[in-house]
Amino acid sequence: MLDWLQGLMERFFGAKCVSLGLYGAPNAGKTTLANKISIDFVGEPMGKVSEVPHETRAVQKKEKVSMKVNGRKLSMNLLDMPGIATKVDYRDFLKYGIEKEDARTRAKEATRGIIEAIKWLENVDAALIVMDSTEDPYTQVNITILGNLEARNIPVILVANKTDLPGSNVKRIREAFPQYPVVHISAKNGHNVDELYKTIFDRVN
Amino acid sequence: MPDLRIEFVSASVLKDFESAKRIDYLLKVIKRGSLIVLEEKLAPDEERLLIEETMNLVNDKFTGIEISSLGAIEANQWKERLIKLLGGKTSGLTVIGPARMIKEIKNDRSKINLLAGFTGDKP
Repeated sequence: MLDWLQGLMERFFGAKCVSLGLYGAPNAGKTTLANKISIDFVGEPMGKVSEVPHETRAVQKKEKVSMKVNGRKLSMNLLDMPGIATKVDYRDFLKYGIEKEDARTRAKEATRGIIEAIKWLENVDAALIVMDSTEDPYTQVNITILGNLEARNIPVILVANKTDLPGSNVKRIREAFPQYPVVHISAKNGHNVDELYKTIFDRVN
Repeated sequence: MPDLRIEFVSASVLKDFESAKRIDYLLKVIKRGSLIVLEEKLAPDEERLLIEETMNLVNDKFTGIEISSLGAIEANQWKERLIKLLGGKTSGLTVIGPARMIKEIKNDRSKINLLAGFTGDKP
């Protein structure tokens, strides 16, 4: 009955468009996941993926993505956020063969991207916190992101990514943040993303 | 080896400051090259502001901060502010320092383990 009513409302007033932000530390796999979602529902990727940290240095938007799962529909603006960090050192980029001046420029852009991502915390309707499941999840960046979203009652799903890698430990994420739903995936090979889509519907819709 | 200075800051030092002034105070100490041990956990919006202001200051010499805190995520910021306004203290602890000085920082929710040393130019 409720689904029928919702369908009727959407037919007359249009589907509600939800801003879904992908947050996390650099290199957690946010853009890989954003690309997977975008390819699944729009047919094209969103951004470039790189092993060099801070590849995404400005918020990438894909508007009016229509997610359809099991006959349900959700219209959303997908926002791939720059990775949030408390430090940016241009010297870290030199290890990847980037020239000194380019590394400096990249560092400057990365700091601006972090500020932009932080400002967006006030404007998203829901958030996926993407975590590299091979790394310690209990970091200040994750704590700060979660604290700010929780203070605004914004629905959150923790995404334990990179389960295809040896050393992946999803249990560690569940134990660090027991109050949040955790979905384990590999954004790279698409493992379990259907479960993530269902959870997005349950938490956001 | 250069000296390492640690400032242990009582919560009462910052209790009358607004968030922006609290962050300003902390960053001034960190920019001088000191580690801070603050006798409280920052509110989520203060942590956010601290990262934002830190990013505005990042350059070749100051590469940012390392921060770790103990204490539960407090969703009710108004409750936290009210406690502080009434002269009370919220539980928790925050350790902050210049990123180039902190080699490793680990938090297991009941203790913070920190390894400090100068990794390049003195901040």
